[in-house]
Amino acid sequence: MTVTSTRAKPEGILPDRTKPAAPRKRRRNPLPYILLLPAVLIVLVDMGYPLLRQITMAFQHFSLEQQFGKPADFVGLDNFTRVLGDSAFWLTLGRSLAFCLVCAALTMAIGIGGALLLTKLSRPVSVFVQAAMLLAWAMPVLSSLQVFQWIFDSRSGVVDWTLAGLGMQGMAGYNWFSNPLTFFAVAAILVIWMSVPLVVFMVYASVTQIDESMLEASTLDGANGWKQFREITVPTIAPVLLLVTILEIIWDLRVFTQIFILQKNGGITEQTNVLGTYVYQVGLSGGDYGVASATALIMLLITLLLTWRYVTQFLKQGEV
Amino acid sequence: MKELSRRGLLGLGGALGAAALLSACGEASGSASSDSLSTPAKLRVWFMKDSVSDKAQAWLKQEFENKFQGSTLTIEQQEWDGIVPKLQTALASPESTPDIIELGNTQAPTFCAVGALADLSGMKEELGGANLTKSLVELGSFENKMYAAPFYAGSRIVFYRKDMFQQLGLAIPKTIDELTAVATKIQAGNPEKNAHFSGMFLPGISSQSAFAWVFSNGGRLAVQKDGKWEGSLSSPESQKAIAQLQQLWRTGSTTGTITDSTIGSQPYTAFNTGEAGMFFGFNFHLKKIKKELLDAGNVGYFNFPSPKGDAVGNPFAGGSNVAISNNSKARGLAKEALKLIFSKPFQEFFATEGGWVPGNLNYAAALGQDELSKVTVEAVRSSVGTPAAKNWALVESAKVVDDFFVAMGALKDPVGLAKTADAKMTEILNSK
Repeated sequence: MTVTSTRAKPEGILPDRTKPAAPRKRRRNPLPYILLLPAVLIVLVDMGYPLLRQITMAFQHFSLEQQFGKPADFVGLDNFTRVLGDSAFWLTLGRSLAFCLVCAALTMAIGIGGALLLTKLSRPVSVFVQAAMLLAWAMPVLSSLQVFQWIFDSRSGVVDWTLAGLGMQGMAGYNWFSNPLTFFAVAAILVIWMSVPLVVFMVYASVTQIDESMLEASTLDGANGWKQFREITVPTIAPVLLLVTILEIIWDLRVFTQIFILQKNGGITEQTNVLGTYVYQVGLSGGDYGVASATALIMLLITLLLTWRYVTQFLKQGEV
Repeated sequence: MKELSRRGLLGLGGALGAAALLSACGEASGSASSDSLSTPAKLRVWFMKDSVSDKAQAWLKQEFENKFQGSTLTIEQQEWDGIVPKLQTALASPESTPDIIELGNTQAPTFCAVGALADLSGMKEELGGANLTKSLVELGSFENKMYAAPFYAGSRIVFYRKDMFQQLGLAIPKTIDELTAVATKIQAGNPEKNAHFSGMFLPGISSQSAFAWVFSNGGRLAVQKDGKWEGSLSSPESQKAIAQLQQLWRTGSTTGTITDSTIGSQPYTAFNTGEAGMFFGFNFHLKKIKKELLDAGNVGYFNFPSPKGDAVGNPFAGGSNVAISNNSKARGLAKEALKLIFSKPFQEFFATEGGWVPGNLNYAAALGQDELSKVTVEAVRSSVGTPAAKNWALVESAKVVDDFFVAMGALKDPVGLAKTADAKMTEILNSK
């Protein structure tokens, strides 16, 4: 009691000595917390509730009857053993990982290359290229999907027509969506095409922040372009590269729309399933919500494992 | 003002995720009013694409809204592709469910068995009783209760170019082998010298078309043995059918590799552009055929042939059931709307406008006495459905059968793939 009262006095007398007073004031003011509340609530309701529900369902026998009101029984790890024992799951996982890594790597390579190229272009050309990429990026997925399906159409597609015109006999009327390899090639082109612009923008933005004098000095010291890129550019923009890489991996691993729509055009659903469409097929179409939830949890775990190193590195860099 | 603030509070409750509280409220008020006719309601009706003609839709809306002042009836048209997952999600909650739904007959058993639909047994007599299409009643019933009433039925017939047949001296095929031979000759002849020409338009993705070959040979997609379901594409009968199909795809049709379901559902397009000598479609596709072809008298049709030529073949029994969602908040009014659907004017619209055979066979006469109607009714009469298994809709949405026929259209190995597909069907059909 006495302590507080003696402390209160100098505070009142010397309001300018804010060092000890400022944190206390902040602690008392509820405004920041009130401002945070809506965001936290939205995250809790939007993400927390479905996540909790999903975790519960992963341990339940939950099929169509339960969806229409029958009580659900807890079945322990049953759903997980069923997923892990299903060879289709492992095939799908392998396919997904390969697709994700190829797409993410190519997207990053093309994106970084594009960003560096942008720095060398004259202003009007650079603006034009950026506008074009913004359009590609902002295009609704379904519209680009439709256009891609037309481009690769077996009857009237421009790709088959061109290839046949170049003398590749077998390519006239070739159905790109009926063979898993060509199916994923088309899907990859589409996915990469839609995600390169973001990488270009983010990398370009950070590359232009690099101190010119540093580059100049290194040129004087005799460093060539590649060396400059490796030893100055990359370390400087590393946080951005890490962030974009994490995002790309996450996005490409849970790719859904592109594959799902192309599957409708392909008729080889099982051979073209990736994790996203597999979960959809087991859960929503197959009516086995329990197993689908378990699969989705495993998918989440894999995403975390894949990006863990990047995330920790990213957090470390953020501190520095 | 009071009303407004109450609503505001409810909204806030929803935003805070008090879903349990809200749904409890919904239930309490719902069960009190769901069977009442005096509380006005906004009925939502889901009909599938190409099912109900515009005229019939307008009639239903007007009749219902005149009869029940203050209530409205809105028809929302749905696409077949992906409808099963959509129904699974929408029907499960009173907030999102449509009140009346059309179900593909192959999907009906699943929804009847899981408790998604309201019991219609009590009004079965009123809807048509013994005059309702029997096979559709079976597919729409579970444990002797009818949950989904027969809506309409239809089966495919073969359309052909009379002028091409004449030019090449071909007769209407009486057996499946003759059908293949005719298709082969037209394709080889290619009377219009078209680069994409196909003797018969038969895309691999249109598995329901291909079922005609399986069923006519006595094969089935799955059979029940000692209470357990078993995939049956490996049976000798089914394998014989697939051999015939692949022969057709080798020599009489260039369209086996078509995998776009939209193209598959419009078989008349290639016919109209002179790129096909025959196609396997529904009677109402006649309206989609180019006027010049019809006016020149170049279009004919015949029933799918049998293996031996002694009868009409067995095409797939297409059709739909109509049901009321168990979660509907206005089941009483929905039942009244259902009565209108089964009244004479609406049922006859199926025949006169859509070309479907109405669910109440008493009104089938409205199809008319012309050759097309005769052929259609014959096709429906000899048609065969998909297995009446509780989980059949799940086999459909897992695309087991679709994937199989696409592979057959691409001339892949029939024996190995049939085995894989059978195993998958067996697993899904017997899972709980």
